[in-house]
Amino acid sequence: MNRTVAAIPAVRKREAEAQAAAPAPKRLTSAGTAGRRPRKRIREDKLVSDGDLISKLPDDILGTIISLLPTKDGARTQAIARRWRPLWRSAPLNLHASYHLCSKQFKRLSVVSRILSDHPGPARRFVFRLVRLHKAKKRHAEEAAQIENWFHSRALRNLKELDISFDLLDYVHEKLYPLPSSVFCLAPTLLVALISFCEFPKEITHSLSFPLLKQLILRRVSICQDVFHGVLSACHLLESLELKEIRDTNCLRISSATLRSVSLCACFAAKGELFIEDAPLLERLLLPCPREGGEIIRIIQAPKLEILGLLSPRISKIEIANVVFQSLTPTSLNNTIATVKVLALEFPVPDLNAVIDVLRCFPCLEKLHVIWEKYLKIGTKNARQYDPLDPVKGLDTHLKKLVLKNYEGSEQDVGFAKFFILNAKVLKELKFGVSHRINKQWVADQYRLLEMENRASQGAQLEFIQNDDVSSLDAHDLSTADPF
Amino acid sequence: MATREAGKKMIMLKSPDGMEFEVEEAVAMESQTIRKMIEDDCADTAILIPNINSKILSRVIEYCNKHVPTTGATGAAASDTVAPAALAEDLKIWDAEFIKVNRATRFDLIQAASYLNIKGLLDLTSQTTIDTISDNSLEEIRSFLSTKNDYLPEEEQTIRRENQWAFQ
Repeated sequence: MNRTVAAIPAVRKREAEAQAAAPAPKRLTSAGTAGRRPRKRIREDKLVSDGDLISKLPDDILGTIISLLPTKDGARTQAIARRWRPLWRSAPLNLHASYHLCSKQFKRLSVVSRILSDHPGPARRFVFRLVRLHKAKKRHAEEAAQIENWFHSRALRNLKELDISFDLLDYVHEKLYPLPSSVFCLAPTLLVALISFCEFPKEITHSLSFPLLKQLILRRVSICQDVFHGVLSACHLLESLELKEIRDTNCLRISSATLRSVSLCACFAAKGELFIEDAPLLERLLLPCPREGGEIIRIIQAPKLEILGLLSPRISKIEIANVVFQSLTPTSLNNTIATVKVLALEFPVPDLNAVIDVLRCFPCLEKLHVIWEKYLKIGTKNARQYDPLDPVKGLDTHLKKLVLKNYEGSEQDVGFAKFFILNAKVLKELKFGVSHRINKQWVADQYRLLEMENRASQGAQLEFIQNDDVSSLDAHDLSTADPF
Repeated sequence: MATREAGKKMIMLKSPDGMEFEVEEAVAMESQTIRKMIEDDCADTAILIPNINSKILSRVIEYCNKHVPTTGATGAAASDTVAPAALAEDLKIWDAEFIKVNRATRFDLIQAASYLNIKGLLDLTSQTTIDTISDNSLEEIRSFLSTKNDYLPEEEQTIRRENQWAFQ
């Protein structure tokens, strides 16, 4: 039997609308104002409305379009014509307090207060970077009260995305603005939260729950261990967590049944420890820019860890299950991590022995990125001399891709790369990042020096590419197979 | 139930002007509206799509065909073989070509995308309108959209005054 969608009431309504619109556009355009305007105006309207296709779109589509506009342009649509008047208020609010909204920093704050009191909500997204308050005591207090009220407003009920940061209260002592505790009123509906440049409350007294939050990003915030732990355990669906420059704490513990990605960037001001106790779904641990000397990373349980890096001698100690690296030198070669498939390493010089020692701990590696960072002061110590009779497990069965960054083509570079070209039997892709200009002759010389014609994997392709920056890695796009 | 090629379920879509389109179920399900009907078992053999003529419907199907997530024979995601970035770049170029249509067709596509609930297509078709409204004066916007200003001057003044922040 042919069943049609006309059985669904919503469709029937649309059909009726369309029938009304199709044969009698005149009636539709004049409907709202009939009887009030002189006949001549109506005739004029009809002529124009034949070309005015957009006004015939249903409210919800126009509302979608308004929500996608920059905040100011969205509000201005009210003045286009009567058809547009009610739409801004009925469309979901997209509040981006940018320079475009208001070029004056202090005034931007009051404009936001105004919008939040005018618009009934719901808001989809609220972005306000570097909220700046006046210094004078009375004004400061007034503005702080306004900010506190934002998060109670009707407009922000049901907010999905929050991105907020505050200007420093004191640049000399780096004093951070205290995060208003009313922010936590938004917890029930948030999907994405980026909170930066502020000080979390020292304790959260009321019960806290982020039942829908999937992405949490904390940058340059001061947060104590207990509150961090409280926030994290209040998240029931959290998939990715990014931590950058966390202040006033020297130990962060993570236990999460849902986390799939953790990114840590120059996390602690001085010495500090990231301790991942139990993360059964954790797939990626990204360390875009390790801080020199101070950080310890300990992972007790992460049975699905696949993507890891940058590992650097800058990190004083890395412990993953029973594998321990001190300044990126494994303390023992008896234990391995078989889950990791993508690994990024950073070393000061092309030190084959040191890299091989690390690789012995990852026998199922498929993609390897190695960055030569010559400004690195710390080198690896006591790397064992490579013994050809003790081949590296996985090199001839798993490794498919090798990427070298800051490749210069020097004797050391060539020696290092050649080892992989001559030994990795299933290698498919070789990508060497160069900073200098290269010509055909240089490339031909490199092919010869690297003995590409003797490569162990005949399918391997070598490509020279421009060096790119690794200092920012996307911790939240879980679809990329290789984030480095 | 129409089936073609082992394992690929086909769905028949009918436009009000009597044309029939046979499409893979996965392609049809790019539309959340159709997905819901299939999941609710409202789509035995053919689905009538009201209000969308065959010319527009065929373009919508063309879009869905291009944007349906490709899966290999083994079910492995295509990203294993093709770099996702290259795939996305290719789609972008394709989209840019696809949207080179006249205004009337574009608005028909917006309506179709909205009714069929195809987010990617709605974003793509609305983008020109969004670009038109962003950063232009009201007079320019009205002229681009062919919308007549039906406010009395004092009414428009009131709106400007009430939302002063948006007009500075």
